[in-house]
Amino acid sequence: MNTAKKDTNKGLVTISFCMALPLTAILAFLVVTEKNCSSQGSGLAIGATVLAGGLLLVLLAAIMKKGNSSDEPGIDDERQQTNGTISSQTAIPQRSSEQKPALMLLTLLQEKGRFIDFLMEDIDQYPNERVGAAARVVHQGCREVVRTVFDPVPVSDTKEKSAITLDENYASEEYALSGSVGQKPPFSGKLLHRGWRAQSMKLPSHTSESGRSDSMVIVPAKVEV
Amino acid sequence: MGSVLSIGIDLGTSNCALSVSTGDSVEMVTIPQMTGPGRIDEATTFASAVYFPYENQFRAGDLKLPWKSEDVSYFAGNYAREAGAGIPDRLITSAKSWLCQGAIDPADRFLPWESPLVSAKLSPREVTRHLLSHLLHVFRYRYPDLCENGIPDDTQVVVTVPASFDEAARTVTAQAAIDAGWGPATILLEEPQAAFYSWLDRADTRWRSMVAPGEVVLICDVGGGTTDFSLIAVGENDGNLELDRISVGRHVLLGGDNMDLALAYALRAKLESEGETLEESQFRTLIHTARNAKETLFGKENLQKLTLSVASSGSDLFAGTVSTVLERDLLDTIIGDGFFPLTAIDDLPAGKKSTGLQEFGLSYESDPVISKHLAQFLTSSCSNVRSSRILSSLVTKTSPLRLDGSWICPDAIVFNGGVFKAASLRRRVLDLLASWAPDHAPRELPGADFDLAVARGAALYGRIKQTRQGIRIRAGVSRSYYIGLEASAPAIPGYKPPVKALCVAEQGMEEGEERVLEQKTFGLATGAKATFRFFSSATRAGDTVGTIIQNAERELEESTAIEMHIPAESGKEPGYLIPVQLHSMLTELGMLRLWVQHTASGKQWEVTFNVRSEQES
Repeated sequence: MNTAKKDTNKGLVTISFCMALPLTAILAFLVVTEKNCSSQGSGLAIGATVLAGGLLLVLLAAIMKKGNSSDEPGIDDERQQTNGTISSQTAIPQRSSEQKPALMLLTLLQEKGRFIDFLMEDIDQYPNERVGAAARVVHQGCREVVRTVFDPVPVSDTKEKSAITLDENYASEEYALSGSVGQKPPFSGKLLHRGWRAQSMKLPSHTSESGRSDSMVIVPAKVEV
Repeated sequence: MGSVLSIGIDLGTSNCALSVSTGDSVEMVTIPQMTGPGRIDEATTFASAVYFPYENQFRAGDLKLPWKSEDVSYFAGNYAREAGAGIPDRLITSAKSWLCQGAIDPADRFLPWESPLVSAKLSPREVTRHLLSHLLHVFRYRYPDLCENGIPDDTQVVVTVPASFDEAARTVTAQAAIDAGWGPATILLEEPQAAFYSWLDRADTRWRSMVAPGEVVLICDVGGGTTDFSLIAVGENDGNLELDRISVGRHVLLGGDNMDLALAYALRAKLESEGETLEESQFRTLIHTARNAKETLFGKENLQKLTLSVASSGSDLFAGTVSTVLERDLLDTIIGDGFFPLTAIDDLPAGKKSTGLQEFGLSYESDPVISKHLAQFLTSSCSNVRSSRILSSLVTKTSPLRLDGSWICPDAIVFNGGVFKAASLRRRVLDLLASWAPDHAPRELPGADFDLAVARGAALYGRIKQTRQGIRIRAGVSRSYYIGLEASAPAIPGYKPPVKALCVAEQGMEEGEERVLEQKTFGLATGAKATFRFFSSATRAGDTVGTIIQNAERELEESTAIEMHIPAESGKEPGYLIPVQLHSMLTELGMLRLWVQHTASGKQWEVTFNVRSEQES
């Protein structure tokens, strides 16, 4: 665990790109369930839920990247220039206020949808039936969180697997192209995935800058007295 | 015309909501509140729950609301309910229902009920004030431009109360709103009426074609914790439609929360029969899961069953989660047949409302069947309306036989409360009434807003009252009131003479109307307090001031006692007797005012409910 902070961030950013597709899968799972209410959907449901990690890592990476660049500009660069390498002692997490929402999101997903429990358990020793039962808990709770905080809607209204044409004014961040892509729009093709767009970013706010801001606890241990 | 500002507050037994009307439209105000330690978020509703943290549960800064610079020692709202779910001794819920528990002084500090843990307890009135105070802060926080110097003077604030609340409970609620800072002009509105105002607004001009003169509309309001009924008669005067609230029900402590609990018990039994065992904390999760499953199955009528999972208490989600299937049949049995069975019209709730305190302190209904409570309401409404010539003529214009039976049959129903989002439960109530009156089956008035109608209707009513534009429901005093008199019979050992009562305020008295009890002159000693037993009835519309009830304990419901007090006058000995008469009036603010008056001098002294004034801590 001697990874330097900057390297960690690089890793996370890389992961975030790798997880671009899984991200859409988890959103599909959380938002569109009407089709999956009976057992035949459980395979898809389980797969999609496992990929939920993608969502989290992407968000964490995005938030951490933002936090780093805006809050502690150049600290890592400076360290690297003066020390060359960074020892394990300096890798203590220094969370900026911009990073707090990442932990908050994890807290919400765990509180409502047992998300960390789901990811941290060893899935290999359980049959689909057990994983499926747990997936319902994760689905119900995490969907509530995602809907409340992000209120996602599809990017494209076109039916998947049907033809779509992007004219010259299309927003490039809304469509990722593959296949034999020419130099300029219009592009004609088939919609593989309709994409997701958050309509809001409504994380709860923190009441204090002191208080718990140094705490890394996602959810506390529970004790019955 | 200047700008109109009207604020509606739905002070629910389980949840509160806040609405505002600044012009033609009414909007809901989202309510910032704690959602976790050091976490503030907004929601449309605000749980009517108060939680007392234990020492060191939270760190400095965790319990800070956006409008307060210091941490609070207890807090209300959705997180209060959540935090207290596993620690009932530190949680107050349903404080509102304590306001109308006759024998209990709402200024007594006994909540959380029977808790050995919390040292500084709160009174039901303080809890009410705390909830209203939070909502006031919310409003000022959300509308800083409107509230630079506090709530503007000409704002109309409307707080809703159950139609079943008697004057004592209404007075305590109004006083709590004033203490919270909402201003002395705060008025109260009965929840079913608020729901009806919301329906009127949503139906817009079409409502006049949806009901006809001579018809009777039932407002059937099943909330989270209480069930509340009212009847409204549609009349006509010079071609204009008129609305009269002609009957209110009694306080029925039964609602959607009971249904969720019943379903959770049924699901636990099912899980146990399938070989699973549930821990206590899992059962709390199961209640939540049951509610979601109920709403899903009621919302998707083509679904025959729903698989549901209850997470483990520990982190072993795969090993410890238990799962079962909720079949529609079970749901219909538990909710439909359990709470809304097709019972007969003469099948009334088992057992009279107990005045003794039961397991949870409040007199919860011993009979959970809402069908029977509805039958009781329509039966007692019939005797109420029949006892008054004015009310009788209102409901028999187009249906001359309406009062010939033992119960009053409505022509249409406005549903309210989250429970009735389920179309199948609305159909069940319609079927029930159709089974009671096959030739006169009522229809549903469409366009209800089941969750938010009460808050919306409150703001709408405030606007109507301010602008004097739009139809108002004529309501007046909801019950008649009686003063208890010690019978002047000679004492006979072993025989307790019945308590006689004299009617001092009539049901239906309208704003500004004044009555004098001429039959009796009270000789009140100055400097001393005279306390009288006080009774009310929602079923004796025909009684007028002066009517004598021979056996008050049998015929009437006992309310909080009233006090007459004439302070000692300087220069005169205390104990000097002053002859006074009792007057009653409904104030502009819709509150019943009682006072005694010295006939010769016209001097007045207020008669108050025997509720101790709140000691500010």
